[in-house]
Amino acid sequence: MIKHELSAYGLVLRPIEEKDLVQLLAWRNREDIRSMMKSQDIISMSDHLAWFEGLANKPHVQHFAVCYKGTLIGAANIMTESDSLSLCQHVEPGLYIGDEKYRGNILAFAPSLVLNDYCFDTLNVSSLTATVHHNNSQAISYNEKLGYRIAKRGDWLTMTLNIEDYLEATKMVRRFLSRSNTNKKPQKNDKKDEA
Amino acid sequence: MSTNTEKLEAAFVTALDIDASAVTDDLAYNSIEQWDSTAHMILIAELEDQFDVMLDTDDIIDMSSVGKAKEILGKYELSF
Repeated sequence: MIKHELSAYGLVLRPIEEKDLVQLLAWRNREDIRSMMKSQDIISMSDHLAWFEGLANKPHVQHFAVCYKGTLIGAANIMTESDSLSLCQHVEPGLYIGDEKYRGNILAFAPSLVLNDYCFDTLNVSSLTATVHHNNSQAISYNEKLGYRIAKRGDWLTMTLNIEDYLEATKMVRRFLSRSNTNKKPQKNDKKDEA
Repeated sequence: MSTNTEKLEAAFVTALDIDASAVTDDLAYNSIEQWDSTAHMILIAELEDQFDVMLDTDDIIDMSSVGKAKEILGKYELSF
């Protein structure tokens, strides 16, 4: 079942809206972000608008705005080579965090956790794939921390993830990012209340 | 009995596998190879053990330096 808005680990992943486009394009065209992508060309606003307008007619891909505390911090997507996400077995997620404050932060794992849970639990896919340039040690390390294994080497590495490896590798980060923020004054010994 | 500052220092030394002399208020997340996201989670677990607290997710995300760790733990009635 396709869901249009995902919420977990303190984040909301919602459909991209027109108001997001200027910020997303600025991030997407930043050298440090696009240099990590398969397509590294600078995108024009007209191409960006055309891409946005075509999103609704693409059942094989979903794009999300990543929001933390109501603020846009990045973008994420999932896509499949099959005709539709609702009928596929394999999915390739994509993600970038544009907000400097959260790049490299532990929060950067949260969008992947939200997407991966959605793919495994709701879309019932059997595996996820990531394609990463062999020089992109940061992305390789990030994916390995999510449980991905290298399946094929070359200029571009193919990394794959099954649900068992995912759940095992992310046990700790899921626990830390799943805690509620109570807004009450914190007390010593609150730890004893952890389930 | 260890002071809070000594406990904090011990948590950083254990979690990040660094020398105690490197644990200064300015030491920041991702500023050294040893303080990556994995070490950060180990650090949180160490701090929670040392001080018998459970940090909120926002605190875990915001803990960007040793100085910030002191500030956050201060909310848990700990002084440094």
